[in-house]
Amino acid sequence: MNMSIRLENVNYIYGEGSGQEKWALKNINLAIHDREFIGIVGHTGSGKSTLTQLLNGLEKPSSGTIYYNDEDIQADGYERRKLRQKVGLVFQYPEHQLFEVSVIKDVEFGPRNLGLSNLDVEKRSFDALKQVGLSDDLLDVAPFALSGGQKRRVAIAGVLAMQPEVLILDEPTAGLDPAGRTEILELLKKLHEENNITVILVSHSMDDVARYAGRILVMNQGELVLDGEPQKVFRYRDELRKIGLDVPQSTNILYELRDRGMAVGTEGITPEQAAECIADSLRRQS
Amino acid sequence: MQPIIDAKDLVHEYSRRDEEGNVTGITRALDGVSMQVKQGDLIAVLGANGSGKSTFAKHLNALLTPTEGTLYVGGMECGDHTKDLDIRKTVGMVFQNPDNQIIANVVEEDVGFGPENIGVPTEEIWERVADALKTVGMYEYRLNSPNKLSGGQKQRVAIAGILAMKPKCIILDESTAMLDPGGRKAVIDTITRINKEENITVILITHYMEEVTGADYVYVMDSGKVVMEGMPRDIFARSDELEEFRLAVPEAVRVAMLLREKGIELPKDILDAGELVDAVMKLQA
Repeated sequence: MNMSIRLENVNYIYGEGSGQEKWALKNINLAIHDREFIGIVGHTGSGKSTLTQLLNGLEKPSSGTIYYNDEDIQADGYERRKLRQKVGLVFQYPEHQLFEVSVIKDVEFGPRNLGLSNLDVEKRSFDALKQVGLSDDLLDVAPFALSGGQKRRVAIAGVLAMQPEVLILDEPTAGLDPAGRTEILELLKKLHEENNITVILVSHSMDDVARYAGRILVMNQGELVLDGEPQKVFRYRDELRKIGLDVPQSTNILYELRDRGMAVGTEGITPEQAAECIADSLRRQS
Repeated sequence: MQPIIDAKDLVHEYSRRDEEGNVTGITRALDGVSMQVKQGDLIAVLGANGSGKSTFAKHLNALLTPTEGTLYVGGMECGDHTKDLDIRKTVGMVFQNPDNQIIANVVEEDVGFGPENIGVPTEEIWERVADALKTVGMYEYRLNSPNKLSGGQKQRVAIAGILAMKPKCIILDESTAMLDPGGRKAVIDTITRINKEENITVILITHYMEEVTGADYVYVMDSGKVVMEGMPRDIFARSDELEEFRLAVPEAVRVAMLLREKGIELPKDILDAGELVDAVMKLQA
């Protein structure tokens, strides 16, 4: 069956009835389809973290309905435990939550709680560690002895071992060096393409979402203000700047050239595309 | 003039131990680092996770002592612990996590904590606190509770706390890593202004390449060694080497590289978007 998540008129209010109500999410209507790669952007406090926690049933909306595969996840009798297994959430700095004595034991913790046989638990955990590209000789090593990037991959493997259909990651590249950032993003790309997992990436980096996401959701003050393909969303440079965001750096270079009078396309959103736009324009003139 | 930081062949080793506490091996976190920093310079230290850059920084304000080599900070020799307090007055450090550095319930009290500890007279403390908060653009928040501030604002309060101790040098040890782009820019703008206007030496430790384009000089570390050094534009012209050390070039430099690969004649040392735009406009004129 095809996976889908639908939100209808979803609101989330902190401190309801306290006189100091704060709307974390305002009237969100949204459908996420099978096998999408979605980037969620918005600055701190825009509601993007709240949104991700609603998607896997960790938080309950103040009003409105969320459907997973057309079933209301807040309905009586709905198995939200199963939902959290289907919609895996990787928090910010997930490596702070590693606690077991060895890498493999840490990854096994989740599936062991599902009541699977020992063999299944071991197989799932082993497969998950393979998927994130951790080599065999590290399986029995204590997690704290690993590098920052390796620890983060162990934490992601822990969620993958639950065999989710949707993987939500909150700033998975924060604090990593450039090579570590690329490794994590390429891992997500692989999981999306080869394992058909729906990926929802919460990120501060427009450059990263431009490169990897097929669709971008822009959040501001609890509202979903833009929703579409990256190329389309990045046409709204002025609107993005007004809410403290921006287009990717490569796109900004193209806008800057156009503002200075060059006849150049502004649809490039990665360095490769921007270079192509500039080269095209120069070629046409010569 | 004597340099504010003078490190020569610095080595730092620590022992790895097993569960019973027996030494199982020695790790060389710093392996012969030499660096001289002039008062008033803005220096960037780049390096991948685990390259030794934070270990190096911790030597500069006497949180760690060298295993071998010599280190002078403001003319004082580090290593025998007799000058630790003076060294820490000379070099202040801002850490990565904004939530681990704030201790008081009111912003101005937090900023006043440092100068109070080093015995500054009460009246002067309040003057210093007000000045420092104005410098980082947080004066209007002086009576607020720190826990309502954003990450970037908290880091600026942490910087103010160090400024109030009137240091000669401030180290930012990945202080922007946990911030969003707006917060990151506010911290970098603040520290750049302090460097220019107050002539305070800044050592910026980071792996955000865009942040170092304004530095006077860049060091790149890998496996405990300094493996590259030079002006930002010379460092970023060596993208293959940077990649080898798990780093990258800024996006604008990357666009310029790709254009050169397409046969478009652009200077090899373009540093940022502004220079790239200027160079392309020159070509089309």
